[in-house]
Amino acid sequence: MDLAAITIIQVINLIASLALLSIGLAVIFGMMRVINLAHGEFLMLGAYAVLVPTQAGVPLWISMFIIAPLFVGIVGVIIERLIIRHLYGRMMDTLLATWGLSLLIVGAMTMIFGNTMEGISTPFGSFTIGSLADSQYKFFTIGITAVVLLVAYIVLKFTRFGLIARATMQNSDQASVLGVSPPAVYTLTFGIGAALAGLAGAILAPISGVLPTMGAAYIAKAFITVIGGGEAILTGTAAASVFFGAINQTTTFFTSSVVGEVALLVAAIILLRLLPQGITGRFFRRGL
Amino acid sequence: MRRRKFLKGAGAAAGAAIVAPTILSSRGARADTIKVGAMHDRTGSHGIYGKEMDDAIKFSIDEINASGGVLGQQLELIAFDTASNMQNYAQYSQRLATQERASVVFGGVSSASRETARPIFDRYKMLYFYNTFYEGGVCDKTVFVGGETPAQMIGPALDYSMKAFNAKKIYTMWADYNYGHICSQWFKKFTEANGGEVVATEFYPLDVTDFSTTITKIQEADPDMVMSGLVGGAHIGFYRQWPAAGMLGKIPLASTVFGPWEKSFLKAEEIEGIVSSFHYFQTMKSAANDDFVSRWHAKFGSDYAELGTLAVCTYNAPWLWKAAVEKAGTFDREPVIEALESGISVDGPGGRVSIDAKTHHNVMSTAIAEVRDGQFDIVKTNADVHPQDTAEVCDLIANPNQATQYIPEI
Repeated sequence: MDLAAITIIQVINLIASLALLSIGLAVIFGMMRVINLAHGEFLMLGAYAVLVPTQAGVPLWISMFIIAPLFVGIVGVIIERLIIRHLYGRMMDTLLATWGLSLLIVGAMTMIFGNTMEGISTPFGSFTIGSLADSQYKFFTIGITAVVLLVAYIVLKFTRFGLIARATMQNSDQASVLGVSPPAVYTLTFGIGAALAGLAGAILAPISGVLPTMGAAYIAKAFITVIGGGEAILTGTAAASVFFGAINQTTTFFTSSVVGEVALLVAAIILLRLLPQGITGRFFRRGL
Repeated sequence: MRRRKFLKGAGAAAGAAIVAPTILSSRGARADTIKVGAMHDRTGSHGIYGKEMDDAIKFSIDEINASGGVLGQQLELIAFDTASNMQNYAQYSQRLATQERASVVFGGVSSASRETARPIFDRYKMLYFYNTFYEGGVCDKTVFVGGETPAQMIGPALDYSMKAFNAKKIYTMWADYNYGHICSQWFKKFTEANGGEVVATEFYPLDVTDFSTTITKIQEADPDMVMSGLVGGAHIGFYRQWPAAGMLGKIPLASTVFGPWEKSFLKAEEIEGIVSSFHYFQTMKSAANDDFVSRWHAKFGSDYAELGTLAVCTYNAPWLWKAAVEKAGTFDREPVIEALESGISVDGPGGRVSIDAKTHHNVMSTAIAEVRDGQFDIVKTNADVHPQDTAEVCDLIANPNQATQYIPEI
């Protein structure tokens, strides 16, 4: 019974982590059709943006919720202005450009910080259910993910900016006829996507450790989740996270972490064979 | 015609390259200074281990030179930063063998790097010292190992902790490469010989960072003790998640790898009570160690990170070699190997180390430490611990023509 409870918490935690690290990519790739291979590096920059201020004495929560998203968001805006805006509609070119960018960012961070793993201690204590104990940080991750998804939904669905952003992504010519400036909307949307990645990196930092090459471990999972989710970026990301997260964590529990990762990949292949448009290509089609 | 000519020329050049080292090395030995090679990963993923080794070899050679050199000749150290990249090991080994004609090479950090360099030194018949603690079993006439084998680290530590914690059921976790796999087998053998039981053996790829499932599984299995053979930067996550889950102090935790390198990334309250065992800890109380540490600080600055067994094993190796060369009266490889096999020993900062002739490993003192307030607190020391695992399978006196690594069969 204790075991079942704690396992369920771990499954939900993994689902939340998957959704959190994919949501920024869902905006940039799902909405803007930019294959952002530098997504993992955005996560990494977010992790460093929480590590460096924390080591300098800034309270953890300020660096996590303000400095990290803001910094990575600004980096995203600069990258969009310099590189990405020339490449809209040329998907393969965005792939090459962002791949080069990812190598550049990893190289630059390695030069500055060295190729060594650093870390921050996991905040909060532990909780116990019966005889089993686990870290309270899991509830924190789950809570933050829920809030982020909810805010993203409200912004896209109910605010004027959300409406303009969705309209611009669907038909930028029509939107510009109606007085919207598509380049500004693109820049802002890309910046928001980057900021979300930065926030995810900041929240993952205390459990994973921080290293210039850490992005590589997350990029594949993020793409699988977003592609598995399909057209509707929020519903899709959430649904795919639930599907892959549950499979990965349950398999890990009964076998080992290696088999868990394999199970996730196998599940992704089967899913895309049965639902080539992703989960929201068939279900929740009217979702957002 | 042209092509044939080219092939002929290339063949001759290749032939010359193969013959050259033997001709040139004897000339090299008569030069004014003696060249000594070193290869350590100062940077890259193994940089946390390689930096102190690289500094230790420089320190050791400097001190030997200051004390008058070897056989009255000064040593010239050619040290490479291999940057945790196996291609560099292949390239620099070739270069040390053919171009620099070094008399001896000290180096290698990971087992993979040793297995890259070792065949090259075998081929060129060069004396090679490997000074990292490792999975054991290397049995090679031209190779000497200065680091600990599992028998030397796990043996006494397991004996101590099984008694101290009254542990019978042990849960084990290992890094998923040759070090972890081979160590896990030795560990099982030692545990069963001590009357215990290994209840789980799990392997983790080097990039795994999330250990929460493992921590739950450990609680479910409710072992008397947990043994961690986790390696490298990503696995440090375990030492953060274990206390975050409230497990610290509930189940005793021991490790075959945990040294000052890992410790420096963690807070004192996260690692209280972890048991670890090596030849050397900086916290050892002895006149030799105090003197060594103050000399080291005088050279590299007193803010240098806490030293570990890697630095000391690397520091000892050239002194063992010097003693052997001076006993043999020559730098030539075969008499030096013979001299090393005659039972050379030195008193290093961590205590006495001597060469075991049959295995080319070191018989050494080892210490068991428990982390108290962020410091390695020495709880027990053992003199003259033999590399029992390797000795069971390797005898280079009876069968000298070997260049292999044995893997335990259980």
